[in-house]
Amino acid sequence: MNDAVERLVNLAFFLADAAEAVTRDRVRTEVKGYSADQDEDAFLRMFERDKDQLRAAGFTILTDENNRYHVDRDATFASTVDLNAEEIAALRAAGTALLADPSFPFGPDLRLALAKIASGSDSDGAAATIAAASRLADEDPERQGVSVADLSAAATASKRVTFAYTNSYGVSAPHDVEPYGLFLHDGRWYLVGRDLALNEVRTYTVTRMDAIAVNRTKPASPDFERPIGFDVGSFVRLPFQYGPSTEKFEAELAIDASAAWRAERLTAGQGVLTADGDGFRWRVSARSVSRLMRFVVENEPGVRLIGPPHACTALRDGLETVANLHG
Amino acid sequence: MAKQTSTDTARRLIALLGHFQNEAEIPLATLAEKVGVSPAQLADDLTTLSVCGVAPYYPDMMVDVFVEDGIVEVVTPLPAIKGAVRLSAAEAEALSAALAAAGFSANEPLTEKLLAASSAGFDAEGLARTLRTETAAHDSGVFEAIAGAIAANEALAITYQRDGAATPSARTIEPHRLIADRGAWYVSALCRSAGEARTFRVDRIRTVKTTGEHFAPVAREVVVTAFTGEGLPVARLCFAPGAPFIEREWPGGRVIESAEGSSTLADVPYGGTGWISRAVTARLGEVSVLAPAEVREAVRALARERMSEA
Repeated sequence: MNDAVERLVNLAFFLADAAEAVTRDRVRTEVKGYSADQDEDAFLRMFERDKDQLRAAGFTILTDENNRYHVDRDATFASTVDLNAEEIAALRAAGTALLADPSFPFGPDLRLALAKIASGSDSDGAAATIAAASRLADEDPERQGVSVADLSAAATASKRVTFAYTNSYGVSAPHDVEPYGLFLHDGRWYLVGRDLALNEVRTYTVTRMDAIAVNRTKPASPDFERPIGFDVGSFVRLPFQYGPSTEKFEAELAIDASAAWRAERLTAGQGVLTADGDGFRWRVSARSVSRLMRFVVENEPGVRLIGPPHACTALRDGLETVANLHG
Repeated sequence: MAKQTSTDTARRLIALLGHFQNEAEIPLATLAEKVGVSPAQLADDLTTLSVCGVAPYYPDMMVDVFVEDGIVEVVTPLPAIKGAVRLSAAEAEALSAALAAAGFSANEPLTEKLLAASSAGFDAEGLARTLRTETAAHDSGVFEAIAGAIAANEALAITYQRDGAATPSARTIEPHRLIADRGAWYVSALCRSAGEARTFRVDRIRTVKTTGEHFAPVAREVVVTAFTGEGLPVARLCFAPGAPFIEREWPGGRVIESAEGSSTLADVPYGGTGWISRAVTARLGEVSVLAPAEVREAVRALARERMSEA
C-alpha cells in the first residue's frame, strides 16, 4: 500500500511543481512509482486512476489540447480563511457534534475538510473540539448514516438504486429508483426519487429500506438526469400533510401577534401566509385531521384552528374528552 | 473501523500538507486527531511522506519531515506545494451539509466565506436543492454567539420564549454545551435566573448578548441527547388500545405494561408540567395521565383553557 501512497503523493508534487504542462511520458519517467516495465495499457489505467484520486483529494488537474497535464494552482491551493472568534467557535461546535454523530453520513469528508481549513486559516482552532453533541437521526442512527452515505453517493453520480421497502402497512416490496435527493426531517432521513416501476416521484423513509444496492455498472456513466428545477425542499412536509391523497383538505389557521415571530418556522414554507393585523392567516393543505389537531395544540398559544368546520368541531370534542378524562 | 486504503492515506496526507508549509513543529497527537487516526498510524503515514518528493529525488527535493518525542518536525519547505489544498467536491459537500445542519444556509456569511476560500467552483445552493440537513430554523447569529460563549466560558444575557408562554423572559445563562437532537439545537446551561441547570431550545432564544462575565469551566460529560431524564420526576401515562407508545415522542419513557388489544402503561420523565401536559392534551384522549396529581391537574387546566379558545 505504501508504494501506491508514495506514487500518488509524488504525482501530486510533480504536477504542482511543473512549470508547464507535462506529457504522460514525462509522468512515467519522472514520477517515482510508475514502472518502466509496465505495459502501456496498464500504465494508462493506473495514471487515470491516480488522477481521479488526486481530484478526489482536491487537486484541479487540467488537460490541454495536446494531452498534456497541469495543475491549476489557483483552483488547487486555498487562500487564507479569515474567521472571527465566534465563527471559529461555531465551526468547531458543528464539527465536534457532527463528527461524533453516526447519523451524519459525511463524517470522513467533513474531518478532512476541517483539517484543511484549519491549516489554511489564521486560527488553527477551526478543527479543535468544543462541548457539543448531535443526534440528527434517532432511530438506528448508525444504519441511517451508512444508508444515506450510499444513497447520497448514488444521487450525486446519478446511479440507480434498488432496495426492499416496507410500507406503513408492513408490506415489503422491491423498488428500483432513480435517487434525486435526500432530506432530514424530525430525526429521520428521507429519499426522494423516481420509482421506475410506478413511473412516479416518491418519498421513501430510509429506516424502512433494506438491502440497498447501487448500480455499479459503468460507474462513470450516469443512469438518469435529474429533472430541471428539482428541489428536494419541496418534498419536505409538515406532519399533518402526510396521509392518503383522498383525505386531502384545506386548513386555515390564525397565527396571533404573540406567535408572529415564529410564523416562518411554524409554516416551514408550506401553504400561503397572509398578514392579518399584527399576526397572520395561514391556509395550508392537510391530509390528517388528527395530526393537524395535534400540531395546533402543540404550538399553542398563539396558533388557532379556523377551518374547516369539521376539524374545529373534532378539536373541541377532543379537548372536552381530555378534560373529562382528567376531571 | 473500515479498512484503510492507499487513497485514504494519500487524502489524509494531502489534507495535512497545509500544516507543513513552513518550518513547523506540531504535536503528533494534535495532527492525528485532525485526520481521525491514531498517532501511531499517522507516524507511519509521515514515514511514507518522508520518502516522497520531486525528481530527481535529491535530499533537498524530498519532504523533510520526521517525528521525534511525539512532535512532528518539518525542516524545509515542501516541494511545489503553495498552501493548503482546497476542498474536494465531496469535502465541500460534507462541510456545507454540516453547516446547514447547524443552521448556516448556503448564503450565510460563514458558509460563503469558508467555501469561497477553500473550495473551487462548489455550488452550495445547488447542493441545497438535492440535500437538506437543516434542523429547526434558528438565527445563525444566536448559534455563533452561544458557541463563542462556550469556547470563552462567558455568561450570556438572553430573552427566551418558553414553550407555551405568550411573552419572552430575560435570563442570564452560563452555556456549557450545544446539542442537536432530532431536528433542533439546544444549549444546556446553568440558568442564573432560575439557579439551576436548564436546557434551552436555540430557536426560542429571541435575543442574545455577551455579558463580559466569565465563569469557571465545568466538567463536560458526554451527553448525546438533550433529554436524559435522569433525576426527573416520572408521570405514569395510559395509552388507549390502538394508540402506540413511540419512545422518540416521549424521551426517556419506558413501557411498564402492555398487552395486545388493551391499554399500554408507560412511565415518562418530565422536567416541568408544561411540556408533558401539552403532549398529553395534543393526543386528544388517546393518552391520559394516571399520576401524579400535578400533571393530571395541569392537563385538565390546559384542555379547559384551550376549549375556551377553540
